[in-house]
Amino acid sequence: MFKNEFYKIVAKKYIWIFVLVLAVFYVFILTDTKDNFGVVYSDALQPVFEEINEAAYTPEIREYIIKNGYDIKIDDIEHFLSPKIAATVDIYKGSTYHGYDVAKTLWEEGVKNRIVNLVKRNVTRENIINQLRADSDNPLNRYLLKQYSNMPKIEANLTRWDDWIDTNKTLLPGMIAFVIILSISGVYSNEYANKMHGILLTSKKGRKEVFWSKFAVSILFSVSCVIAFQLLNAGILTWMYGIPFTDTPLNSLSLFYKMPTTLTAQQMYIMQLAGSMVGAMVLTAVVLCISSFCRENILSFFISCLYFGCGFILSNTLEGGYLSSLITLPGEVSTFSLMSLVDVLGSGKVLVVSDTVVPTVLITIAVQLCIMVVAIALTYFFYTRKEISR
Amino acid sequence: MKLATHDLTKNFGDKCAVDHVNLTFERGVYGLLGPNGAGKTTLMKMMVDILPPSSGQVTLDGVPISELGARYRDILGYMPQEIGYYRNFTAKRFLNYLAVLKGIPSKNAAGKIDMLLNMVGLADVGRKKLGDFSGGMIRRIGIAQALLNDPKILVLDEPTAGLDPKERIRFRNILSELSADRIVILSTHIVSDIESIAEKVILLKSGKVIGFDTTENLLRSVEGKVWMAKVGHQELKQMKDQYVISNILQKADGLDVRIVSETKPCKQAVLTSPSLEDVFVYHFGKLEINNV
Repeated sequence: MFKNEFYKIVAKKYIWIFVLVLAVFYVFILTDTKDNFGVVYSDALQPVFEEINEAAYTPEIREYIIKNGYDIKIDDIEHFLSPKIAATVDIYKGSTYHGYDVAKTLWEEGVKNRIVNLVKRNVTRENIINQLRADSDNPLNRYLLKQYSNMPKIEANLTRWDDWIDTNKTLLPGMIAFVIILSISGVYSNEYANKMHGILLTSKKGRKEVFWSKFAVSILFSVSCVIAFQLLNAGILTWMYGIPFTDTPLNSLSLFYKMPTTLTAQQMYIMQLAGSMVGAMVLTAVVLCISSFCRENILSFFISCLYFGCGFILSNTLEGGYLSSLITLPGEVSTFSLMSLVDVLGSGKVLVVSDTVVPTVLITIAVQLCIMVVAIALTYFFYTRKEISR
Repeated sequence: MKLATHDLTKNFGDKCAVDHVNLTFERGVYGLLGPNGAGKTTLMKMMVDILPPSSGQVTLDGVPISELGARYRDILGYMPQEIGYYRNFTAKRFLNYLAVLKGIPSKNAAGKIDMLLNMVGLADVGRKKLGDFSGGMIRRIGIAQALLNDPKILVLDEPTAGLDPKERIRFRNILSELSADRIVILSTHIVSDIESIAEKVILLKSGKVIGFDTTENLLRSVEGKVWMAKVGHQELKQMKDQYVISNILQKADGLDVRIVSETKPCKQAVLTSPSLEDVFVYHFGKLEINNV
């Protein structure tokens, strides 16, 4: 039965065509920046990662940068830096790439900007902590103070974790969701379109067992879809940048540096993979539910797209900051948010309920699990009590 | 085994599709006869438990079928009016899928499927995709799937529609063999199918049972009311306005017209022995037989 139910999903040629087109589109989007300077020389400064970090935490350099308003030249601080940095950059002396002087660009953008940014970010964090200490004592401030104080030491952004996390922010969840909706939205409504309900519902195991086998193969399909797209994504990123050479605190990445999060980039990425998987399962349950009461595939597809799309739009429109509100909450608890996690987890978002500070991600997970349970229950109810009036 | 409907009623909004139907079925073939829209399909859907009645119930040996659930479906074979199928499935794969759903052990399923494909004359196309099948072939697959679990109750909604004469004969023979130890209920508006295989006929009109009897008794009910007359075209026109015409046959010397009437329709009319078609037009007023 499982084999046949799975076959019903994957036997549709149009699904494979869409998957192929999306995969090609995705490869194109990701590899479009392959020739950029930053990509080609992304690993050039990795051997001096520690030295760049040390420089940003050297009191003389730090004071000099702050004193000059973050507007300095590399020559001003070069004498403070480890000779290993100069030696590493000197390897590229005389090389040009697309009109860029490689060594000069590595000095200016690779070394100087990273050190300046690191100092700037530390100063920002210290200012936030000082401000929180000065502000009135309330649950939110206490929570934020704890988070900012416990943050791991910010590091130079040399790992390319940004790309691994950023691809999982919008594009990948969107594509995975589209393929799931396209494939699963017809699971029940197709039986109407094929006029099979009469036969299925009058067979001995045509109700409960069809329900469970459809549910199981749909989840299996969605999980496979997530794995396939995540592998594709990881494959392209590894090919372009290599596997990140080290873990780094999440606040070292541009996307998250002001946010009250204590996670590392690797933890965030793993959470995203888990979120993508669980979110896909929730989406599958919802799409199955919609499909079970729709008689037209196209209607089931559009309602499912609407469900995911609303969360997608709300989440992307109202993102930013670390404070959730009743206005931002609908987007934050959406299936899209769970699949992305950048906004609710990466930004360390919280919701203040009377005197309690609740991490928004917990609300997202709780709401999504509730939605999943309700969707499964409703699908079971709709299908096992199905009647054929026409 | 006794299958019964008790005051079975189905309303769709203001429209009453099935109106307080009380029927009892025991072993044998039952023909459900009625014009389009009479409520045959609605009645059958309630009898196979895919449409809940507005009131009344269907029982098997006194137990409501809604309570029996899977136990009832285990002994049920149902062929809907519109046969569902998956275009990408081969005939064998389709029947195998339904065999699993009907709880047939896999070791028995393959042999049963081959036997049924042979029975419905599709043995040589078992590995062809259903999307390539003609309408008649799909109906034969529909018949095969209904018989997969060797059902004790077989409900067939318009089973012969779209079958060619040879297949209809084959189907009638299959049903005659099957009727020995089970209840077979088939609906049709093809009167000749019922005439040749049904032991009892249910006449359904506007959701109400207007007759439920053996074929012989129903024929007896119109005895002395069926006339044959040779008429011209002009005379036929007048006759059509006044009487119910059961059949018209063009002959070289005029038209042989079969009329159902309580009184002698014209002086040249002679009484003739009735057929089930005459019963049909007698009860339903107008000739609605399309594929006789």
